[in-house]
Amino acid sequence: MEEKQRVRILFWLLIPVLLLGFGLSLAGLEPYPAIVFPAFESTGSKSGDIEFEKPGFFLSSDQRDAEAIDQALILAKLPESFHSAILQNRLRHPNGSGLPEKRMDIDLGGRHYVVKRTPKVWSEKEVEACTAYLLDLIPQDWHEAGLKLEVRWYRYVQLAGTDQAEQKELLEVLEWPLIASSNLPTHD
Amino acid sequence: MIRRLNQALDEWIFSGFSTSTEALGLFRIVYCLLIIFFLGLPNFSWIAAQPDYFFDPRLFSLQIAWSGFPSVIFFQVITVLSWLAFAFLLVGYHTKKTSYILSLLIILGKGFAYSFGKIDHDIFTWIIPLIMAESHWGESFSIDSKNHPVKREAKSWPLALLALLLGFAFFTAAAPKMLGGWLSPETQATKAHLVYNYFVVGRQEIWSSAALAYENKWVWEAMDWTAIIFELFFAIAIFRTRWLGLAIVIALGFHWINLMLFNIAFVFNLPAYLAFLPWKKLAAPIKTKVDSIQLRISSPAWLLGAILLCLSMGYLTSPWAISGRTLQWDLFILSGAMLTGLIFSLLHLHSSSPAKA
Repeated sequence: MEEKQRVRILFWLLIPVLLLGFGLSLAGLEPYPAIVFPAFESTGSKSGDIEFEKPGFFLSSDQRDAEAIDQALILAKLPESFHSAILQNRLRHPNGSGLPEKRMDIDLGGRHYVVKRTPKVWSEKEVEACTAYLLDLIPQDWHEAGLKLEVRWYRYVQLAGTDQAEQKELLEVLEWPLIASSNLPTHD
Repeated sequence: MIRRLNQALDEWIFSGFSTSTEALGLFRIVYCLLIIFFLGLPNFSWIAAQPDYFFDPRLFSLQIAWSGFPSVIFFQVITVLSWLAFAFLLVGYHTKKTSYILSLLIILGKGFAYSFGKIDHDIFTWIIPLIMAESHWGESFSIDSKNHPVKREAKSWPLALLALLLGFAFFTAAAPKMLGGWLSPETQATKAHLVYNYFVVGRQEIWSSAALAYENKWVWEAMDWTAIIFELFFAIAIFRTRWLGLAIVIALGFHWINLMLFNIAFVFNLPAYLAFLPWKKLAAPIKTKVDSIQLRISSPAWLLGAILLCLSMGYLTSPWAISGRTLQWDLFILSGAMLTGLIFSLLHLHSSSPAKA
């Protein structure tokens, strides 16, 4: 086949591939790799007040009450651009609002197809490995019985005309026990 | 009608972007240097340290075949291989094969990096070798040109392909904004994203604090509209080289403002914009000089030098994989790119203006 013809075919074949990638992205199922730029399609609220959800990180143990810690401590081993995705997808309560199901309905050739992505369910081994990972990030002086990480999600509203925001209600809490409590009942 | 459309497309694909092997060779070298010294060589080693709890690959990606992150050795191997591939590409050694291997290695590694639930949309930086592989960009200023003195002609259709992909990517940024209500005067989406970036992500440098306190609804609405108009313009501009040049200059300003307001450094489009500089004009006067330098040093010495450079720069910039480049560094890169774009635009305007009587 003549080279020009091959190039023409390449360009024509690309069109459905590009459109498919874009279509999946619109449905929240962006493939990788895909020729798609970030859309930032959300618009904020129409009420004029700009709201957002943000977590606070707290440590507590059998001996100590909850103390706030810096979010950067927990996310220290991850690139900055992944922080919000990890917060939303991994550090919310399993029944919270952070992990919506993504689905796409496709009607093709008289048939109906559903492409669905449901929130991941983790194995015990994966949760254990993550517990060890989180524990490793927490300063040694906190390593004591009953150590627990709490991720408390709050709603905030930006105060108009300022660079300040007001904390509103608590939305959900993810509790992550890191070291077993010394008060647990023992089996003799 | 269809025949005329086909003819117009043929014209655009095969003759729309005039180039030469020297122009492509120079672009290849500058592309590699931009990555090596400014944007940073890819590094995937950090991924292996993450727990599988974070592993959630894209539904449509190669990584779906894995049940968790591979071992550290796997990531170290693809990291070092990609550094070596950059060294080979820089000096133009087995350029075509290297171009394919390099892009595929990086796409493989990035696929794992984007299994944390977030894609960084830096794809253009890494698919350039894949797009340019068939352009014969290794025919000049390269070891290949010394080893095979019979030159093949430069092909310009990869540049048309790159332009098409760029234009489409900008369209994918504009369309969801329009569908999502960015054009509605009731919402100020740019402002809402600023609030999110400022408070949730913690991007609070340069102009972000002052911008956040700025309350004029219509200015923010105008910014929503400007973003969409610019992105749509870029999508159309790819079909005229002059318009594309203008769109790139505007894009650089757009990225610069994004960095100042949102502290988001979208520097990973720069290598793609770089492809459309007037390399043909730049390469012609330096060709003899570069050729004589190239002849004075043996090919193995060039290759060894490039390997040492890439290994050392890869090692030195490896902290960027986690900490990222500093905002000041990205501001320096973007400002430099914007200045370059402006200078070339002015030179182009000057050279194309009618001579004085």
